[in-house]
Amino acid sequence: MPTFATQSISKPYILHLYRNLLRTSRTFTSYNFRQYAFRRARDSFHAHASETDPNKIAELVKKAEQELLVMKRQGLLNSMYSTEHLVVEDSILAKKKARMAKAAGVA
Amino acid sequence: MRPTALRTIFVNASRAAQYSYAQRTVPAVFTRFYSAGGLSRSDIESRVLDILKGFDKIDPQKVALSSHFSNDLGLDSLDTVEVVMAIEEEFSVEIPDKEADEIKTAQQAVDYISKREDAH
Repeated sequence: MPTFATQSISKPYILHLYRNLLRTSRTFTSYNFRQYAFRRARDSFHAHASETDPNKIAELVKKAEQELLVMKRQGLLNSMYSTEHLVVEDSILAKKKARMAKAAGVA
Repeated sequence: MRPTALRTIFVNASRAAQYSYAQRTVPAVFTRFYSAGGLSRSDIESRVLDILKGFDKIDPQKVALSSHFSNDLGLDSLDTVEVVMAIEEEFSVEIPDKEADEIKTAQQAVDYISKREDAH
């Protein structure tokens, strides 16, 4: 019989884990890896957002913790072998600049 | 020199050091030279609102400063984490968990960012 944590895992802890995963996804320098890691974390958390079975939740949390470790390691590795920015990233940067310019215009 | 004299010099010197430190950090003029820090409030408001409007699960029509993320914009707790992360990224700051949990409205996000001097 599988032995899962009997006490339920708190919601703040899960949100903390989620925040950690999203934050770690940003450490990838490669645009494709970064987006993939972000989407994967986001989609898998949303997919199980209405899960109520405590055993299942414990299992998912454990999986997320493992993924976080993998992501931390891979993100670090990826940042050691960084490549040039892609064209899409320039457009994201341009959008941010536009927001800043617009905000400055309002000010 | 007697030890007391030395002590006096030390105390005076450390006071002077504190004084110049305070001088350096307090006036707003100085911060302007170093970075884009000292964002104006309307500047922050506009950018926070733009971030919210750009979020795929938010109806841009509903976005206002008073908007509550879950009550007005219909976001769940996961979405709220994403929105706060997006705001972090926009202003290049890292918001600690505890403080991030407190941000539940656009107004609170603006208030928080305006308190952060490293936001830009």
